[in-house]
Amino acid sequence: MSALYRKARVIAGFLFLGALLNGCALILPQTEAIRDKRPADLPVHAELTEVPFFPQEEFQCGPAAIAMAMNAAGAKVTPEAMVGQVYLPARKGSLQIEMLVAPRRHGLIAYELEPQFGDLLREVAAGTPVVVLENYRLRVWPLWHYAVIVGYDFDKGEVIRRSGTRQRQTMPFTVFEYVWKDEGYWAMVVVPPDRVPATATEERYGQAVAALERSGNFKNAHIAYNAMLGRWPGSLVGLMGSGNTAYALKDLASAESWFRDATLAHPEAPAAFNNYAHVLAERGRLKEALAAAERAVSLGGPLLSASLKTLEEIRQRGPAGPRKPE
Amino acid sequence: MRAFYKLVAKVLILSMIWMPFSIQAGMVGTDQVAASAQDQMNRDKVASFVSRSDVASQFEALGLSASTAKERVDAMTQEEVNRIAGKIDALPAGASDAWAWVAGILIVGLIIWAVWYKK
Repeated sequence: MSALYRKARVIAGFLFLGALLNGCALILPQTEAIRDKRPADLPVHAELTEVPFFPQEEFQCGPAAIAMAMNAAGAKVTPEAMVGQVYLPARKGSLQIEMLVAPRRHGLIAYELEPQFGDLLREVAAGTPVVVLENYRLRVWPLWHYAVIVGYDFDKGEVIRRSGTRQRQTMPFTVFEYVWKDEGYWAMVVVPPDRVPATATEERYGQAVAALERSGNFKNAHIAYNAMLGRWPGSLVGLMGSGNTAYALKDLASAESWFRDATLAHPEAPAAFNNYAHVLAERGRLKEALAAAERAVSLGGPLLSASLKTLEEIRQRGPAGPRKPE
Repeated sequence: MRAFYKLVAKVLILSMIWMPFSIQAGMVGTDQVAASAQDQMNRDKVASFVSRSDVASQFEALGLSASTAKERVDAMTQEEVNRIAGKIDALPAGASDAWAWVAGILIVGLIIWAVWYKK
């Protein structure tokens, strides 16, 4: 028994020693992964010198960082104006959620990146500054800070940041990963509606645009859905969003055409047929509307109640539809 | 009088909650198409009713005026509200001033130097 125990201790000791020797990879895995082998799609250097700089007032790195990112995306806002939208006085700081919500109020799209060093650098290389949340102390005793990454240099192994009162500060990849990792490598970008972030996925970008649409900015959301279709041709969210925003902007002819495209590209999507039926009915084309609504109902799905309601409305409206016996 | 204003503010906040749900009857919203199936099943209007006013009053407690708190919560989607409801005090709030980071970065720098360069 004791021999077994001793053996276990020896094995544990070796594992511990191995962990020490591999310390860098364990503590800074992402730097380790990209430092020696630069991803092939990334240029050696990039720096976005045109990104404006706003030095932060005490504690207000959130308003300063978001204002820099928003100005780079084309919105003329000052850090002072953003204080009322992202700063929480009693917390002496800004929440990540509010950093993501504020750009939407100005018609821009905020997108949270995947927690990948490579994706952060890809966005910078594509021309978009990245807002990151850093911890300057320890996980158990944090000191959170927002900075804006505006460049990097693989030769020197460093990132270039706008931070606090410093307009251009370089930081080694290692140090940067160390301060960046504690909140799950959190990073976000702000883009104008006509530009999709380089590393965006269709699903999460679609949700970001849908949030902009829901906030009532149909004009910019329409532009963003069109940009989505440029990146992901035939995207269901892109087509439906283009249709819904055209409808909200009272352009029924355009909405009809978007929804028709959606039904052709996605013959299995009840939402496409439902909205197509709705617009056709509003334009007085009740026979076609009825066929689309019946198709929506036959496809079922979680939105079946909406489809049934549409079908019922169309049946009540027109002589074209067969009425149920009273 | 203050209590009265608070009551009015609360009534206004509650009345605003239903606004984001007033989609054109019969049309399916893009957010419903974009949401994952799981999100759609999680949509619970009663829960949303509570958490929106919760977050607004937490914001007020953290120093925002009632109208600013309402505006900021209104700007969020329901998913965003759900993510922070009840835990605003515990979430990271990026804050450090220009000098505090110097001390922090020194500590961090020492650790990195010890682990990384001093092989």
